[in-house]
Amino acid sequence: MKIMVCIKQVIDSDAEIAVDDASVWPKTDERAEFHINRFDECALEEAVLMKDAHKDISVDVISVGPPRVSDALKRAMGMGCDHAIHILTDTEGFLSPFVTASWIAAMALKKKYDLILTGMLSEDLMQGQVGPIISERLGLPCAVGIVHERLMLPQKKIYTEREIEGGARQRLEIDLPAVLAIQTGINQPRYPSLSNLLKANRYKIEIIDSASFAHAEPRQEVVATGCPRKTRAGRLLAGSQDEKARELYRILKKKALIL
Amino acid sequence: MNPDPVHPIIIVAEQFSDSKNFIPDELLGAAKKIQRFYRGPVKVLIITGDSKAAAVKSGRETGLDVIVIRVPGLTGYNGEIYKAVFSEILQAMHPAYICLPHTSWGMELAPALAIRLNADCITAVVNITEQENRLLFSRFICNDKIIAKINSVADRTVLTLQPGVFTAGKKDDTGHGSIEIQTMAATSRHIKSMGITAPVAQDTALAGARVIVAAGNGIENQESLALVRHLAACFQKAAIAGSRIICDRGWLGYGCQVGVTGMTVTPDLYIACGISGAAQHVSGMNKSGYVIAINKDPNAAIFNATDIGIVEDLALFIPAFIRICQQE
Repeated sequence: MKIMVCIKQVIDSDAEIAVDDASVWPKTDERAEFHINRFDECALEEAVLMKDAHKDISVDVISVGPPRVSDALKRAMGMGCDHAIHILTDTEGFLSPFVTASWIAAMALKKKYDLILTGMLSEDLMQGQVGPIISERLGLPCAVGIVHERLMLPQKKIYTEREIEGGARQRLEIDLPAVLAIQTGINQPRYPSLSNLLKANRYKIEIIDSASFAHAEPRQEVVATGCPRKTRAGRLLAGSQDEKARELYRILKKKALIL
Repeated sequence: MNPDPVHPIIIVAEQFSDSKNFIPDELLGAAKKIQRFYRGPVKVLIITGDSKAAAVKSGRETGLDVIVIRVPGLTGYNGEIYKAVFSEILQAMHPAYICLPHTSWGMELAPALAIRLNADCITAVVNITEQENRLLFSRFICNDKIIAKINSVADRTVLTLQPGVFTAGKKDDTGHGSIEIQTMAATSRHIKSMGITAPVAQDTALAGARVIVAAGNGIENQESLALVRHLAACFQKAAIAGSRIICDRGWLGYGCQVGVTGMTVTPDLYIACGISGAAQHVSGMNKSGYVIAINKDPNAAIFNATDIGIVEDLALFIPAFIRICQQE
């Protein structure tokens, strides 16, 4: 059985993010830090867990992006993937989910996977579209928000539970091949061991030039980016740490929120 | 955008006997906002199961042209059936804009529908504006720190609208919209629905708390939860809570999770410790009486949703605050 996991290397949103005026997109200069999208890390872990539990499962990992993305792919190899594919782009900046998914689907079509996993959304773009678009491109069933799965290999199916509103779960039996978009909390992604990372570093990633795919015309563009509107005053306390602590205490006391 | 505005703006909704996920009021509000810039008629599609009565009633209340799609045997969302039914009907309606709720079913369905309809898809939209004859759809990016305005360059666009942000569109009881009922047979070949599991009983400590101290990714390690507990101990009727990531890691039970996929809370005081402020979390606490956030990132989105913000390292600030409480 062949599994493909789609991962994205994302900018660290907890760090300070500057927006590039020219590209109206977060700056990815030398100060920016990157990591594997958290949702995708859970998808990787889930694939590796399946490989650990069953015989004859191989896991490919695929990512789209500039050369820096090879770091994410190597980490995924260190987590236990068998093969890494890098769809190489020459630019930073906004890439629409439609274009990303079209390229990945074109690649998947050649490789004939039994199961394709993605994270349910990316921490940077937050659109949650790549999984569903890949499934449509390949004509495969798809489920989004997976918090539990169990392979039913003899029946060529997978049992899944997807998270719906209010913490309820929809239970589904899905025919393979299928596309699943994974929600966090399904597992605790492992830290690759140092020896596995070193091994992964020597691994030769399969690189495909994105220009080699049939042209996928983007259907959307980012026109502007800015700071979200404040919904409350958001007054930042000034002074030293102790002064802030005193001021906070005074405010809470005045509002009778602390006794 | 299509230069010749004769194509409809279509609201896609579902209605089953259990109708709590039915939110066309806000979709109506969003569709009317689009209509200010694009003068297409607004129409409503409602999918339902064996009984059409509730859907017809909801449809009639909108005062708009409504098509109720009755799928015998259907008891709730099934991705394969929804995609087949909606793509067939929408294809024939030649819509310019298609509005879905950004809910568990809307977010799964929308991108797939867009592919079948040769359309663009923009998800989790929070605002609709117009600039130089283009409709711009605002949505959050990067953990909700940045808002991006997106323009669709396709003739047709599928949108999912973030719940809770659009003003409900005014319903027009006097409207003379037509109600058309279509019965469609559809079966799912590859996805078998096995039912719904109700959520596990929630810890009710949060519901009765006057003060909630919540931990987010910024607390960095499980040991720091002790700090959050100590801070909570400074208050009466206080409880601790966490953002999704804290509960995913197992540092707190899911009963303590505040946000869209967890609890909605309304304490007198909410103290967010190391919480980035993603909409997912904020929508679960933004009706609190007074909100304080402590975060070392001055640009964290949480500061947009707080009354008082403190840019400090939690590990140092919380002990300093506790010392002052003890002195006073």
